[in-house]
Amino acid sequence: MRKQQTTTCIIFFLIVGLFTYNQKLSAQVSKVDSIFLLLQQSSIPKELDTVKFSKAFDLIANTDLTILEIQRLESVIPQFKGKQKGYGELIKYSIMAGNKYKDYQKSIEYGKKLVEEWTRSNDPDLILLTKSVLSQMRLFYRNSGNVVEGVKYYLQKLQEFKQIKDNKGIEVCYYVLGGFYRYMGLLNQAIFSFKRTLSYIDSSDARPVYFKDIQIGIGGGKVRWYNNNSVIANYYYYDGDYDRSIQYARYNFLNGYGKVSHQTVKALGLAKTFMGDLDSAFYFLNSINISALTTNGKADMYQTMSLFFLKSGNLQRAELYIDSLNVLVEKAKIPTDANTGIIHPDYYLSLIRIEQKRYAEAIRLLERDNIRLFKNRSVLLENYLLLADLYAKVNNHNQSRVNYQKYIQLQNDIRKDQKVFEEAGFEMEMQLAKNEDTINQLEITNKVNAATRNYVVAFAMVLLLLIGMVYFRYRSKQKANQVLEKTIQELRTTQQQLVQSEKMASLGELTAGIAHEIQNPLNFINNFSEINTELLEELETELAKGNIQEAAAITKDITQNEAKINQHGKRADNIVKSMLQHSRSSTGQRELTDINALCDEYLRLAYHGLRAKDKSFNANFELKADNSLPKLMLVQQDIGRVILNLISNAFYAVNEKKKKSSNEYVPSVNVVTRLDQNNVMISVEDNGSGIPESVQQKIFQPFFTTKPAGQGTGLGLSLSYDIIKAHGGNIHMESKEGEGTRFFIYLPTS
Amino acid sequence: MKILVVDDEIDVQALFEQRFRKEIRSGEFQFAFAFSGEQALDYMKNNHHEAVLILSDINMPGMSGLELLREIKEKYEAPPPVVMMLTAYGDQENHDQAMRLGADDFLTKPVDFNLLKDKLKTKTA
Repeated sequence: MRKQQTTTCIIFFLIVGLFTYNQKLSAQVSKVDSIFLLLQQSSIPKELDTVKFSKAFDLIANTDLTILEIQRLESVIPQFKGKQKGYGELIKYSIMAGNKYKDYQKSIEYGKKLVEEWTRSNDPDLILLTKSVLSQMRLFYRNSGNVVEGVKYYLQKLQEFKQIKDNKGIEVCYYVLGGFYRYMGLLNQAIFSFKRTLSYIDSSDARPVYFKDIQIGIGGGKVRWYNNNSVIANYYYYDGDYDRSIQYARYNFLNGYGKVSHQTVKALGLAKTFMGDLDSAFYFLNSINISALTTNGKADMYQTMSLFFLKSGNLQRAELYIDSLNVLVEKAKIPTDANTGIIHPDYYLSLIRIEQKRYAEAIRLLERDNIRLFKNRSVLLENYLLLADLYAKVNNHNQSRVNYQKYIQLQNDIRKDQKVFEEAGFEMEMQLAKNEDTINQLEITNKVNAATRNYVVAFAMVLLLLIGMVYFRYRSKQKANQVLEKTIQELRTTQQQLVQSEKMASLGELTAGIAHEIQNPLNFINNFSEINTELLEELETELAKGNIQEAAAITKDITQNEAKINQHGKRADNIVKSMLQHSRSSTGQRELTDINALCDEYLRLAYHGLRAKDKSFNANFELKADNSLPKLMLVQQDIGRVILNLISNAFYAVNEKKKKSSNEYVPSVNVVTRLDQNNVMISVEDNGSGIPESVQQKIFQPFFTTKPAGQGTGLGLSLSYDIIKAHGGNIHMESKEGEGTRFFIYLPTS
Repeated sequence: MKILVVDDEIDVQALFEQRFRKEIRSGEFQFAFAFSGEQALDYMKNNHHEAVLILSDINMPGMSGLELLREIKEKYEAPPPVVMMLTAYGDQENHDQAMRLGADDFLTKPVDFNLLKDKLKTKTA
């Protein structure tokens, strides 16, 4: 009895186990089945059902397949006949592009085969599709670390496309080659290649690459152009050429591409960061909505923001961004070589640790980064150098030396490659090198013969050969020169365009800002005045009816609207006035100025000005003056305006806090002057609500204000910043939320 | 028929109340106002599903109109309210992004109130 029970139990579990196993199996089978079914159903006679086909196409891309399942899907392909044949081929593309065999080498072979087949097919759709295949294959070359092979393959393809003048093909080849060169650490060549892509893109063609009606692969025309432009900007940034980086990225930014391309914004932000221009770096970085980006784009921006905050000295925020990045990488399984560039949180965190002098941790992070990115030479190069330095700091001189050696070795390797792929026009150079080899070989053969032949004949031969060689070299060089000249010409034109757009830049940014700022009050004015016209008509009707009560109500509305019209008119007026102040070059004469007297005057002026406007306003204020201050040569009016602005802001802040606080709160504003080495320091301190950290970076930007719409133009601090900079001084602030804010001005004494 | 208007310009409230005074008086439309994206979300939370249509500015300090749009379309149970965007920046990218995030309409400032009236009537019918 007991035994029977045990057996029943075992059988029961077996059944349950089998059942669950079957379920798992059937879930997977049904997915492949549904693809299979969709494909079969889509291929109906006469017209292809593109909706079903697209669905199947997407499903293939998102499904993990076994080799058997791939073969099963491939068996459907012959069903697509006649006009539909291309769609059958598209299934092959999907299998290749998704690396469904999970073997890079196999996918490369598969891709190469497709390119050869389709090139010969005479079907324009398929010939176009080869470009997508070529673009896709680059990832396999890169991820398998087989980039040198890749360079050879794409150089050969490039020659083929050039012979048949296939611009799209040429462009894709340069694009892929550029990426490979960057990967190998050959930035010059990478930049050159990407610049070449720009001349081969038909920027009037905005369509992405379609296969008939199914969108695949690379984007088209203008978008592609901007994209490649932003790649160049980034490469210049990696190369430390910040000016050029900004030139290229700025061009995109001005054409509105910055809003969608984080690459553009990244190049601008980081180049400005490393030039020490943190304000504008922040302006650019902040201009893009990170949450609207793709996952990879988001990750890239997180590490960018981290680097920015690191360089601005805000380590806490820098680390916060790395935390978010780690979460994202984990959650979305972002590969190290994402299509947006290298994503490596370890490296960026190590930079923060270095700043914190936590060297051991930094070392651990970098070593881990090296393991993850062992194929990427540009990453390794930087890491080795950092590591050598770090190991020295923790007194591990042995490891320090090892890393230096690795660094030097890698640099040598890169230099060797650099020689192989010589400067601009290096393919032509490569062709030359090949021809020289042939000549050398001939020479050798002839030398051997010469031993057995008549001396004179041999001499004549060599002479002829020499003449031939010189002539050949001359011709080839001439050809190479022609190519170079054309390239230089193209570059010059681009440069001219860029200079022009740079000139327009500040004007454009400014105009857009003014237009928008003034548009809002103007809209209100127009609207309220239109409403009043209507109301006056109604008033007339009601009066005619003798409806006095209704008429009175309407009159009240009209009066209210009139006040709004007036208020918004003044607001527009204020904006225009501030703008004029902003743009007017200072005509004021510099004169010897007593800073203490100036502060005293404006402190009183600001206080009484506010009191006049608001009777309930009250605050403590004090000037702690250093009487040993020397007089300074200043434009009194301008510096006065800055001081007035800071003091007014301080009073505004304490007043706002007062409105929200209990009676115990005592609003106070202190102005302090002091001689600080070779500078006169002026500080304006309030005990208001403080400025949130998220806002602190923006406060010197034009049009930025925390006051409610209509109460501030947002130009006060940006104007102050300009004035202090024009005096060779410095202005910055410190603020704690809930405690208050302190602004510091430093003016040089000489 | 309740419409929630989101804009950081406070006078937008007075403007809408005047422009739609006939419709408000007749009870055809009811308006609520929020002066930031955060306030709008609060309103939605506290007055569950009361607003059937949201009219939002895009460029606001703090949470932008696009973030608000995403938040509403993603997090509010079916059917999410109709969201129309109203912005001074009528460029293609802004438009496309709003549409991608599921905006039901996209109008540019200055607002053509007659057009808006018609749209509101058809959208809420």
